[in-house]
Amino acid sequence: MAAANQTYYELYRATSIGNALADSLDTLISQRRIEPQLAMRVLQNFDQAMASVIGDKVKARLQFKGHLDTYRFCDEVWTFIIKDVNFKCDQTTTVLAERVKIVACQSKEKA
Amino acid sequence: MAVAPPQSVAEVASLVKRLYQPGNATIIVQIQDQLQLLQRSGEGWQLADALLGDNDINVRFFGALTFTVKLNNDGASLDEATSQHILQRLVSWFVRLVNATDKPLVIRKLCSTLVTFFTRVPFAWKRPLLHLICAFSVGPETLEDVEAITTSTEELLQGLSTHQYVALLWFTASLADELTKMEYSGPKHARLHVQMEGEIGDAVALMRFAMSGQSNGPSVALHCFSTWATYAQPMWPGKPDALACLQGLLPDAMNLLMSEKSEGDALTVFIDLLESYTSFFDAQNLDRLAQFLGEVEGPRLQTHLAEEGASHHGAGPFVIAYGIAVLQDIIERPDHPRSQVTMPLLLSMLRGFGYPGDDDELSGLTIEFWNTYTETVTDLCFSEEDPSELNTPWVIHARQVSHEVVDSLWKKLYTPPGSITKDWGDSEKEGFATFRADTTDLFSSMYVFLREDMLTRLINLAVEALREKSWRALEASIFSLNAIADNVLEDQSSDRHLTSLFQSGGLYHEMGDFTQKIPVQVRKTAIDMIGNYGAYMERHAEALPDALRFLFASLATPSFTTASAKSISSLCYTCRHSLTGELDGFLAQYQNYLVSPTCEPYGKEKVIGAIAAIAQALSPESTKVRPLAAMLDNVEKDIAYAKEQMAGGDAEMGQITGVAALQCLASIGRALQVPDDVPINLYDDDDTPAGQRNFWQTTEEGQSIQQRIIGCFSILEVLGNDGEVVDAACEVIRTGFTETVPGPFVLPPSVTVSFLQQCTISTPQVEAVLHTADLLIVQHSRSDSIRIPSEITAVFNHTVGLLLSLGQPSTDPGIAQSGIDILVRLFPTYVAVLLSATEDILTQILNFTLLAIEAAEPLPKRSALEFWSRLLRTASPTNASDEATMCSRIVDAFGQAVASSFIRQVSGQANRSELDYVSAPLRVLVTLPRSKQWLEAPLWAVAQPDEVKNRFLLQVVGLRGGVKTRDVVREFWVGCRGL
Repeated sequence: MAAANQTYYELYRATSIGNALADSLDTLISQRRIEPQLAMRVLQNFDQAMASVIGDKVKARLQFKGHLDTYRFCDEVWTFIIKDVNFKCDQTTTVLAERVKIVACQSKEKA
Repeated sequence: MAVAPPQSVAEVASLVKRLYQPGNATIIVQIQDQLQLLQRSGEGWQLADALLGDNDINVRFFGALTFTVKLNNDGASLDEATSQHILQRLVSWFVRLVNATDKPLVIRKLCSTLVTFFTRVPFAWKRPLLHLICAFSVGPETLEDVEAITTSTEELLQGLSTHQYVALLWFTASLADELTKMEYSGPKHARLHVQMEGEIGDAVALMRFAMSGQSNGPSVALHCFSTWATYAQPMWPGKPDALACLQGLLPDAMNLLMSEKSEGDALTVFIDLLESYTSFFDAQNLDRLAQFLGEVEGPRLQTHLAEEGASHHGAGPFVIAYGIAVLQDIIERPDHPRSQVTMPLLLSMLRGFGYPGDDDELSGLTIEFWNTYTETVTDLCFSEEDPSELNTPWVIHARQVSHEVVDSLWKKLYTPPGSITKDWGDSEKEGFATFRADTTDLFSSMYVFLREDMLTRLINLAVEALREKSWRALEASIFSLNAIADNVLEDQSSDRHLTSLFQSGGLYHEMGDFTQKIPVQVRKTAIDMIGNYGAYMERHAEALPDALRFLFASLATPSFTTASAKSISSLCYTCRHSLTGELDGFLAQYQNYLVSPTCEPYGKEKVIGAIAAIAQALSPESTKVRPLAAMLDNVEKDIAYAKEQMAGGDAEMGQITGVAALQCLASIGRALQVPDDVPINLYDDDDTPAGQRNFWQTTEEGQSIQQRIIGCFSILEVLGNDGEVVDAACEVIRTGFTETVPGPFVLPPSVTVSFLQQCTISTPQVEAVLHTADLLIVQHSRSDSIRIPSEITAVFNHTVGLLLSLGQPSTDPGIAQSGIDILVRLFPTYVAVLLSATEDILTQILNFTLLAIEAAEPLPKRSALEFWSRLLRTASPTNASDEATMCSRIVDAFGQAVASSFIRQVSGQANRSELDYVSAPLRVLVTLPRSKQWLEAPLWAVAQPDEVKNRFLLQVVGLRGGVKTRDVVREFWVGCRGL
């Protein structure tokens, strides 16, 4: 229930779909079709929907292995920099990356 | 026809009704425009007031909405008298509509309007909740000073009807909800948050009253309670009095856990609070919940598990949430009552009968708890500096519990028999697969804590199941072993345990015996295991023959073809050095597979790639020729067959055969790439004869192989108009690009060039060809690579031809982007190629990039902006090369046009997400001498105040390309867009 009121991270606004949404909202505001407050509310709903969809609906998973180069935990946000990472997607595809940065936030507010 | 402005309230009401009915989208938009105009007008207040009295629910809703819009727009500038008058009207409507039992849609909207009044108007609305309670008790008009009322809130509430206090709960919840979104720190909202502390007394009185009430009162009160807790969590950590007041409601809410009618809602609220706000509960409350679990919900859940299996029961998620909330006690104090109550229930939920995804819904849910449990236990163990602490009673207990979890989950992993799955739909299958995947992750974490004990336990289970030919138990065991494969293989000392399973005559001997009736899933999981334990097999070559015999035999079974081809590939890649002696045998097996009925493109591609990987391990290079020639024989046969099919009019099959042939060729190419982890002999360069290093280009045998590979592209003569074929051909060429030493697939650059030259803008997937050419430039721009200016010139000329034949970038944004990307790659190594173009061509191509910047399509725009970044950077006065001088001349000629284009973008034409891309070349432009002059003229044309434009120009130029330019650009763009 509190999920409806919870504040959500704005991480996903920087994704392609988040950028596209923000661009569309900007256009609607510029054309005076919506108020900026509504756009803000839409973006908040987007944050919530992304968190909930990625948490509940996305079933895809991958495993990865690499060398942990740097890690830090600041303001409830974990940051990991991993080198020579080997991703295994559903046991079928393997993707190699020289450097990967993982930013991980609490999925639920902890008291 | 445009919608005419309404002339009366009745006409407005009519428009509102039309707005909420389905109809022509254009008309709806026009209606919305007219109504929005009215909402923003000075008469908006009167209009809102009038609409609330309408008979239509949508019109009344719109009336409340209009009040909200007015408050949002003008609320901050209202004088005190007007604001009091508006409040009086709102309260009056609220009381009237609630008493008239209006629909929740209108009442809730009015609640939200009242909250907007509370937050937007600059004068404090004192004790809003008490004000509304009194308005119901004594009437809205008679109330003068709410603070003068001496009757207690509890007493006033006694006289309210259910409708009235439910409406008040909606308002109270809406208040907390809205204030949660407003920052606590900062002066802007400080007054409101202070007021909220004063409201908690009335809010708690109302919620307590409603929790003991009838109808939907308790349920709405629980929701309201949850909303206030959400508000309190971030806002009141330093406000113990207000928080304690709210926490005082917990016993009332707990009582609802025992009410048959409200149990479901109460469980949901408690689950949510336990999950997200554990500190809201003090020790006494947590013990009361344990008592409730032990005496009420626990026995109910146990009975349910015994009678109905692990099917859904509301107490299940509650136990899990409670377990996570008191996890520290559960782990470190196994004798504590909280642990004693919770742990048996959590373990029981894994043992209830039923299949996950079907009739067992609880075991899957508990995995979340066991993940948290395992992670916490592991963290605690790893943080112990004294190893003797790892033998403390709680650690021993945790190991025991974890073993029980492994055993229980292992049984839950059993695949159901066909008699059950025949009735399963997609959702059950997906649910079961998700459970297995979640268990995989959990086992992987548990291994870190249990280590060898877990491995030996699972191996023993597998060996026992194998001995008893208990196939489903075997499958569950090897599935579990697959889950921990990566962790197990990190430690070579585990190999001794694995031997009992992989030894000759063991698992794969049984699996390879196709006379035995073994369920399909068992063999599939066994095939996966080979891929997962490849590193073990690499270290124990004696395990390879049984495994590979089984895999090649599996190729003949349709349901195993894909999985076994994948595992053959994985095993051959990993163990290539141990398998070189088997190469001829594998080639013979491959020939058998090609003529078997199960032969299909994916299997062919994987297996031929696997064989090529073994060939890669041969040394010297000349020994690779024979197996490679044999593999090429197969590809060539397919190419010839595809051509025959095409000639015979069977275009569909011809296409499939042709694509498959090229994909096999690409697979061979990929497999022949030198692995990244190959040891480097520091003296190799001195010892290896030059002729051998260039074997593929200098010897007749080597050249012959390369010619045969190039010859396979002849398929393009008949299938050049097929996108998949073009894609596959590009893939073949690209396999050689990553190589740093000559190889059979390291083809001369002319192959790529001539491929590109055969393309026109109507060639399907021409973007893939352009991308391949792009990679060619990148490869030959590396410091240690050979320069190929004439080939790059040919690539450039053809690319320019393609771009110019497009006319506009929007004709085909994909080609435009790929083409401009090639121009980008010319910098810095091959910039001379660009500059050697004739003035006319150069002008046309630069104009094309400017068109791409102006176009709506984002990808060509980004590439074009990147192109100009590079060109402008090369023209920088700090560069002293000939190229710099020539680029400088170009910039002198195009500077004005480029600057105009950038200004158009930053003044609103670009989208927000494109601003960083636009800022990049602008940052370079301002470092050039005449940039200010170029930027001035187009900037003055922008419809913004002069001081804004002046400030922007001064800031952008003053920052001299600094990172902060991005912020300045963003700020200017926001102003221009009117955001």
